[in-house]
Amino acid sequence: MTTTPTPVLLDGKVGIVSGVGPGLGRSVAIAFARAGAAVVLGARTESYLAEVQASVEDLGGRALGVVTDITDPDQCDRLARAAVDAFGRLDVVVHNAAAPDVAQPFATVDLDEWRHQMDVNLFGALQLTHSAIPFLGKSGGGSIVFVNSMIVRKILPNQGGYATSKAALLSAAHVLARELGPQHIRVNSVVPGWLWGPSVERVLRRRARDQGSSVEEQAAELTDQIPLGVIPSSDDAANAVVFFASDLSSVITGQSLDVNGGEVFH
Amino acid sequence: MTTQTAGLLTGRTAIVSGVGPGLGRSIALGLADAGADVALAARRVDTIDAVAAEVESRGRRACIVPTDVTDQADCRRLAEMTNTALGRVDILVNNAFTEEDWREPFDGFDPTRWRAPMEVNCFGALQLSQAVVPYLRAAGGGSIVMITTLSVKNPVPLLAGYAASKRALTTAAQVLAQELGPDGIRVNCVAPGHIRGGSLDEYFAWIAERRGVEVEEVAGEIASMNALPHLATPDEIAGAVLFFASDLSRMVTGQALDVNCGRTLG
Repeated sequence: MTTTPTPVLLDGKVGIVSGVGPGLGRSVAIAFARAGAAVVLGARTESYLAEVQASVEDLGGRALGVVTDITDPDQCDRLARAAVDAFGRLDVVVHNAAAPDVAQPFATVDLDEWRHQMDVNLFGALQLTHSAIPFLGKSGGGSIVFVNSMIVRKILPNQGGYATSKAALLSAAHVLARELGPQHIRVNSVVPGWLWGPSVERVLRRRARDQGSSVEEQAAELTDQIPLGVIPSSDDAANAVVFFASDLSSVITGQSLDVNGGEVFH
Repeated sequence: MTTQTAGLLTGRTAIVSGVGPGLGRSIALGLADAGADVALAARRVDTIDAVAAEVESRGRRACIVPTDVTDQADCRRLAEMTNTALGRVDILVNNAFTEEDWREPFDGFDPTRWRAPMEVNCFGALQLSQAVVPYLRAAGGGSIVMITTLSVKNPVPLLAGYAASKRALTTAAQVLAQELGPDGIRVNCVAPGHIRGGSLDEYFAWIAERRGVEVEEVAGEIASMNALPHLATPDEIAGAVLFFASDLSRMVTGQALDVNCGRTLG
């Protein structure tokens, strides 16, 4: 096969990615590096940051990991400033950090569980955005990408804390798109459905156990709802993030794009 | 964007319908920059001759097929000639729409005049999509992109037929996404708003002359209604089409994306 050039859709750009764990955050960081961007990684767990930073550098990319709890305003400021200090500019912020959803029926849940989801998923993302805006403005504009969830399109019971926090995040994205547009900062959301990875495999194993069936049968129940017939990978969701970070979407703001194999249409 | 997208569509062949001097041309050239060979279809040969030369100057192959998308035989011929001349069909961009001026108030008008926009904008796109499906299947899958409009969400008076035709197309795209998903054929919609150049700029010039102001002042007033204070050019809108045409959107189907500088939020 002849050598095909790799599209460098983020050539020269610098992006922050929050919530860099072994799943989507990692995939976004790698995709950004392949697209030519320098990446600044935020997460609470230092070992995750180290692994992803090493993986990016193995590809010949540039990365910096900063231990960050996005619910802490000072740590958000530190993460934003670290990007500019290390790489001279800031063009993109990807809000991937989220609290894991906890399945609890509303009738008996302690609403502090819902407040925690809101604290991380909504206010954490907004806090980091606050910190980043002054630096995005200096670059002459930029792109903010919120990682949302199919839960806002297709409600499942017992995930009210998660669903409401993500719905609030979607509305916040619209507000920010309107308010930051005059500064040429675009704000969009990627809405992944099921993504193959450790947490989905855990869910399928639990369902298989509860129902006395196999992981394969449980996966088939999911893919029956998906026109393209497979569960998307985290790379597929990461590519949508790259799109919104890149100049391919230069006239797109305030929008949400679903990556779900066609399970839900928007 | 030209060097950034190189490699995105290497080895792929695209058909673009309704290639005139505006959006169709920008889409065709964007696909070529990304590495695709392009079949150019329109009713008038003089326009597509010029665009074909521009495709070839980018080192890609072009194929010219005069086509009226309301004619089923023309649609089948376009698909077959593309496959014969360029070897395969991977991507279809349904950009053709009628340029007839059918603006008129609903009150007292002949509803059969809706047949023209419905025949071209909806049935034309569906007919051409049907014609390419066997070739997309043979290629192992592919991507159909419908060019719709802001009027799907924000219809304006006097354009009921146009808005309804594009809304019908958007819904049909969702059904096609479900039915063709198992074949690996994705179907998505790009909905532009105002597009600089061509008839819009003529309209701005007409207003500007009547008011005794500069064209850019008129354009600026329209742009200020958007979250991004800008009116998209055809080249900028083409970025979204490239996303849906490429493997960046490998797991995205049945979706509709507004490309309108944040005129609408969704």
